[in-house]
Amino acid sequence: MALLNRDDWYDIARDVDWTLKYVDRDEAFPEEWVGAKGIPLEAWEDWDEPFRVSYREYVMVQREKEAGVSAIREAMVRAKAYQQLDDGHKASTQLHMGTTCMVEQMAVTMQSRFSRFAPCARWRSLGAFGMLDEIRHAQLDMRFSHDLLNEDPRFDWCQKAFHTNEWGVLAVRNFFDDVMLNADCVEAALATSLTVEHGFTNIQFVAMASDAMEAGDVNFSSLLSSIQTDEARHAQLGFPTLDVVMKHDPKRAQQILDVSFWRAFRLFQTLTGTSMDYYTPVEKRKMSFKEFMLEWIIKHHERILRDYGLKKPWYWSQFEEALEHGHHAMHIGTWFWRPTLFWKPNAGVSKAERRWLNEKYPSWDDSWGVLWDEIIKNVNDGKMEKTYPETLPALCNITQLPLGSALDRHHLGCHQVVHEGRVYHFDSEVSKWIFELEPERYAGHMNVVDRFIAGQIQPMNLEGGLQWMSITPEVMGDDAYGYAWAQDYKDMRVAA
Amino acid sequence: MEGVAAVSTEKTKDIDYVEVCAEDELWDGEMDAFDVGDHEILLVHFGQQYFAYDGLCPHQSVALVDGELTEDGLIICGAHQWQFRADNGKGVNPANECLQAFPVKVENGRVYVGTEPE
Repeated sequence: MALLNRDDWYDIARDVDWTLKYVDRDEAFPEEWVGAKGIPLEAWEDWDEPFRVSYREYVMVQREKEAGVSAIREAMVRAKAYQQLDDGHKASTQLHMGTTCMVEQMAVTMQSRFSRFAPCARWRSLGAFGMLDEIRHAQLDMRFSHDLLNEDPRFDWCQKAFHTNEWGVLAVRNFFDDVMLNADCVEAALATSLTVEHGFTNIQFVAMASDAMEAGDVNFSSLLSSIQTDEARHAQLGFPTLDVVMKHDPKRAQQILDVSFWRAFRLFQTLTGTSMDYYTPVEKRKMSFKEFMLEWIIKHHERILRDYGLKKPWYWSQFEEALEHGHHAMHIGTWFWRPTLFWKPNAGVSKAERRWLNEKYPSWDDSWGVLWDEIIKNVNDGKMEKTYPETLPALCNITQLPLGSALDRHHLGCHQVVHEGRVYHFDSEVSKWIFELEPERYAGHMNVVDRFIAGQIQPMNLEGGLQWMSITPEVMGDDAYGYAWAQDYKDMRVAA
Repeated sequence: MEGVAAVSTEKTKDIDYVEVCAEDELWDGEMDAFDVGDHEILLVHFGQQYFAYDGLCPHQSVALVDGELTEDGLIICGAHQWQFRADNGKGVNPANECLQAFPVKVENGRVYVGTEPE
């Protein structure tokens, strides 16, 4: 018997809904999970996903993708290709696995909530596919890392990281806990599916895939590309949601997008900005982080804002300034506090690398080069103790990233709020604004430094901090190249 | 092979064309990307005809040349699997999108693409 075409039955299948007899609708779909906030039920009848897929098609396509990834993985593992890779690039893969795998697993929960609590049957139906996608992504990361456990114990952090208190991981977890698991369906669709998945994941999964291929890591590149192909289906659910919310509550839509854009940006600066502009070997870099952001993220975000009648965020000029500096700040910070990392960062400031940085960021030497000069001098003078921190950095109560890390030394400012007797600190005016929009949402959280000061981390020294963060000697971060790059500047010692 | 132009003769007079390749450089069932004026163009050879489209997927601006041209005439973007008909650029999945077409002509064994979309 001939099969019906997908479009002949698709609308009936995706609209299958519950006919509730024993409970009220509000009991079956509690407002705190749905998050419709007054948008009437019938408004969701307009919710329509443009990219369609049947389960039969889904299985066929996913099976093909799996076969492709698996074939490359087996070939690369057998060829021991990992051993040939650059140490800086290896840091990128370890950072990615440790900070991404469990986010994928958290997304399984978010998608499962869509498939149960979303306000219309179509969305719930799409959520089921999203759930399968995210299970696949987490499992792919785990398999990739499992293969490389014998090469480096840091790949154990693919699964372990989110069960530790490592400070960088906490910043990631804090954001995704909030926008995926704390948020209701409507907010999660706009903040996560639309802003993070449709937008920012391109930088992690397209730019990084491209850099990985250039660096010769075919296995990692193939994994990232294959994961990204799944986004077309489940990331699209942000658009029909935005359509509906714009008709009924455009102010809310604007706020969710503005908040999530800034928070996602700060996080991706930390994870991807450092990888692209410092860890990837300089001769293999195809675009700078800023160039990729402008070409791929900002252009698309502006298009979404324009198409839906939204305004640019009020903080746009601050964002553009932060785009110039924030990831350089996060890089020098993470390198300086390297014993608190589970990967080995590449300083990335040899003379050739500095030339590239100054070409891409004309103010780099003035903003960051002078700070690196001090570090370089200490390395070459053998004063290594001066290249390590003696204190903890104060952290932002929104992004969990160090104060001062959004901009450079010429733009430092104090951003504080006193809320019910407690002082909260922020890395920028934007993060402060986010806190003030919903203080109760964020007020109860204590960042790493708050916990340290409260005596929750014992003993109250570096050793106690590292133990609390589960940093062990075999994974503790150090310079990826053993400071060999500092030899470029050995003449400086004489000059000094 | 006769030149295939998706444009009328009259219109052709006002259009600037750029030579992109020899006719036998692109076999039936193949596609390739070329810079034409300010545009990155996807040239598709399918069903004994040539078609030219904006080379970037309307979804997220990924180069379509990195995707696939199937035997039954679908252009599939490599990044997110969006599908378009090779013979007219119409969206298949999603159906509410399409590729922007550019005029094409073949003369004396050379393929030419117009510098502005139809």
